[in-house]
Amino acid sequence: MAEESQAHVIGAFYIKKKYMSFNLSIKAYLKPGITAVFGNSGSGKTTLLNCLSGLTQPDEGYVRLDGQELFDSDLKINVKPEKRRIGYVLQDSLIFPHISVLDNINYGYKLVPQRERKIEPYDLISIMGLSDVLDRHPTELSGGEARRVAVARALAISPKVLMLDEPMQGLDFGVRGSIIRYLNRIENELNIHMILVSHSISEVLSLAQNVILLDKGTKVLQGPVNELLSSKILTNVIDMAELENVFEATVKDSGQDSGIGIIIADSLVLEVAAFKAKSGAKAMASIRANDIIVSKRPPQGLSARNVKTGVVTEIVGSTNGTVIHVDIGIILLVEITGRSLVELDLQVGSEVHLIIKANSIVVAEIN
Amino acid sequence: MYLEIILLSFQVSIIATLMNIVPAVGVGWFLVKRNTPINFLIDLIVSLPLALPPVIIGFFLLTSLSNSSPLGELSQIIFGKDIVFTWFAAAIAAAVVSFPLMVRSIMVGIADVDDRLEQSGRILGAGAWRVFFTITVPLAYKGILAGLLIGFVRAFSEFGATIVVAGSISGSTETLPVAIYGRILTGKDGEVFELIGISILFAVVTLLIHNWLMNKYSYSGGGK
Repeated sequence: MAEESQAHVIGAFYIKKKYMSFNLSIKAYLKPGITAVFGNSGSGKTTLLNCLSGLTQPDEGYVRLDGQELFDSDLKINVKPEKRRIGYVLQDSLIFPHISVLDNINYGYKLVPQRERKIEPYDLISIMGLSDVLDRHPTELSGGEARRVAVARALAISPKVLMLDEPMQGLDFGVRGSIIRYLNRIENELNIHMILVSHSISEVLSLAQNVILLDKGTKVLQGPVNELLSSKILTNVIDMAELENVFEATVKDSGQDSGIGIIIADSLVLEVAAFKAKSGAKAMASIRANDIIVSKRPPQGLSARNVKTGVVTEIVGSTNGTVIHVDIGIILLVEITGRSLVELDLQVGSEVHLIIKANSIVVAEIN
Repeated sequence: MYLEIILLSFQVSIIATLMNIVPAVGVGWFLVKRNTPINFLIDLIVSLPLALPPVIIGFFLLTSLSNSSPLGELSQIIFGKDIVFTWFAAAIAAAVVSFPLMVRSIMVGIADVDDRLEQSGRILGAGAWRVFFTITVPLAYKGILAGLLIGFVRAFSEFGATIVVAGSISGSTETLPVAIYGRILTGKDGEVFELIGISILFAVVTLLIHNWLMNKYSYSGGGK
């Protein structure tokens, strides 16, 4: 209960759920803003959301949200899912296929008592950019559109919190970027708290302020996102091959003629392989942490298109690998071996040169 | 000249199907969506008429509806007459025999509805009943419709249980199959062939309607 007494907490939960081969046991609190529930597949993320939403009944514990008791095994309280007013976008979006897009969005809205309606469907349609698809049959929606409809439908019930289960799963890289932008808009314009389930560190970094890290059904860490990044636990839990740097950039030249494109992120200029986009468009870019080479001296005579000088701001090491944070105008995470760390004598404050091949940078226009 | 027989057959089959709709959808839904320890027992009871010779069903109905049975007595009190050997007894026999087929077809339709669509409905604020009527039923439409048609066809062709519990009373319980049987016994071959022709025509039309409906109402899953 000590955790709950912290200032600015919007909810708290303690959930115990036993399955044949899997046990979930988590006690955590929710802060305002976007909280990411992060962990590998099988760590219990979806089960946790199902317990919070009321779809699954925990064996033991409590769920408190917005000053309301939704579940308490001791007090025999178990509010039905339809009475919890939690917006929950399940994996795969699951738009009702037999009614129009507009009817999908209105489905829950119509069930909310008039005086409790804080969010209007037409505002959502405009925020989520759905006006062109309203009359379309759900089966004619693209993956990204279906995802946006599902989010709008969940928000139309004016929920206390919006829960998203892997909202970027199965989407193209560029579409992922657009979903991230829409979710950021929702947070800013509607002031909705969110719980985002993800197994992708890049999604967590681009959206969440707080994170709950799960491993094999238990919470191993909770705190602000930057704390997670500098935690040794993280490098033990996540698959290093999946660690990527994702950031938004502006397209200067897509390189359709020359074969080499140019993107700009803040003040950083990067050369990338040619891609399809208009000049001036917004794009998402991604560089894997283990695709970046670190050099202490300025390298010469390299084929790699990008050599950027920066300063080491943090070093996180564990048995699983070492991740250094390097500021080159934006902060990039770079994975190196423990031996390299020692041999290069890297410390916080060291000047380093990062070598990034144009082909290692994945870019897609946000659409 | 066969109009009376045909109309009676339709009357019996339609009433039998109408009697079955609500329990068949309810039982089908329960067997698919609720996983209880008694599911196997319900499934067994529901399927029994499918496996038993209809004449046995007819015998059971005869005993449980006769004027010495509680149901028969109830009918006497309310309507002042017996159930057995009336067109309504024929409808009950047809309903019991066609019930398992209806349930099975409806179960296929309901099993096709992704549980998570129903869960999404609950989370959006719809209670279990609303979810059932606004999500499950519209999405299981195809199976429910197919079940109704299959049940209707089975009721229309019902003979074994009907002859036991309703007999063969011209103008009252003489349905199409019963009429054919009677004419075979009395050697009226010409009429037998005419009635068989009508039966085949009816069967073909119903099957064509069934196939047309199955093609018309085909939903595919929501945008992935």
